Amino acid sequence: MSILVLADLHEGQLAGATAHVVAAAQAIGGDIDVLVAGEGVQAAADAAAKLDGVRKVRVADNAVYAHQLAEPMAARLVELAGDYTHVLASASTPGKNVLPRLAAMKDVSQLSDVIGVESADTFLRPIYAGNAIATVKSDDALTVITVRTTAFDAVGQGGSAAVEAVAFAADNSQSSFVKEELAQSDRPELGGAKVVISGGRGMGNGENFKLLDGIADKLGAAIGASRAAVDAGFVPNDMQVGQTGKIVAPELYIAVGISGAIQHLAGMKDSKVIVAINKDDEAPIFQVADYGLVGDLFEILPELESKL
Amino acid sequence: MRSWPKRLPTCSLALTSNEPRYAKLPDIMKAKKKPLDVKTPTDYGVEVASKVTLLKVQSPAERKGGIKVASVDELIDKLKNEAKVL
Repeated sequence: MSILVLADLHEGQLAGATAHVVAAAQAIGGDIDVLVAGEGVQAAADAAAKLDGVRKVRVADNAVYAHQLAEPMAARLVELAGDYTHVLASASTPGKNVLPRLAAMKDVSQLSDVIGVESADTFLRPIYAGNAIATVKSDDALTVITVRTTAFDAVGQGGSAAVEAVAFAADNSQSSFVKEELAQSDRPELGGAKVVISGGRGMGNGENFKLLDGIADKLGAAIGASRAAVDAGFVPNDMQVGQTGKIVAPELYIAVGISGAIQHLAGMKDSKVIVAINKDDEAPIFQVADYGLVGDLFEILPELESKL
Repeated sequence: MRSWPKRLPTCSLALTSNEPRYAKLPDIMKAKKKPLDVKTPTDYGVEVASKVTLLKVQSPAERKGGIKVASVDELIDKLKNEAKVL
């Protein structure tokens, strides 16, 4: 068995998610190669070579891969996939963009959001927004998997894999990159943060999200939001935590003014400790929260910030 | 948010749904008279059998509800001394 892991890049550097995906690959067993595709990614490739259990790192360094566009990335993967039985990526935005295209081009069924490995062809994945765990078996010759990184512990850094370049695959895609608008933030990345503080519709407006800033600074936390807050236009949608947003599992998750719709819980209920602050003591968020505080968030937040 | 130009043809997905189109009754009646050509997937050389089988479904580990705290001080105290996450 041989497995190809598509590395996650964050601003040209290797993202922490990759080490979790390699852990999932180890659970499957076999030779593990990592594909690092991007522009100027030598540092990321060297970082990937240090991950435990990696046999070799294959580097596709070309301007067309710079923004991880699905079309050229999938074209590259399709040619490489012939050497492998499994192709894995994290269930992040690029992974969820690229792998379905690969699966379609290879005419195989993708297994998404895998949270456990039973054997080389049998996997666990959440269905119904995480309310049930399905065990599924794939009979495809090539198994294409996106991995929920929070379900696997990252591998160590003790490896020393060989790094080899792979040739540029023809880019006959019909798309090109124009621009990307991301919320600029010095805070940790939402998916990998140890502490996450999220605001919901109860925040009232986008301006009030500033109340979370001070607490986030003190805790070194990333700031998230519920879909209600995103839909109401308070904050950009890359901050959304939940079924259709980011799935997080930090050490500490603080939900402020979030009632706890099942779709939101699906994105954060694997957090180690959950704190809920809400004025409605009947809110479903209190059923999953380890510590609930009922009250007006506009009084509680400044108090919390001053006492931390 | 990302934007990029596309050469046609292209297929796109919108987040917000469109206005639904309601067929009028006379049109529904007319549609009933149209010939109906029944095909099977094999006519198009498509195999529809799923390669993925569902072996079992189980419920996930339940998360137990916790406690309610009365004040910010108690919350910080619990986080520091009981949960040890601060």
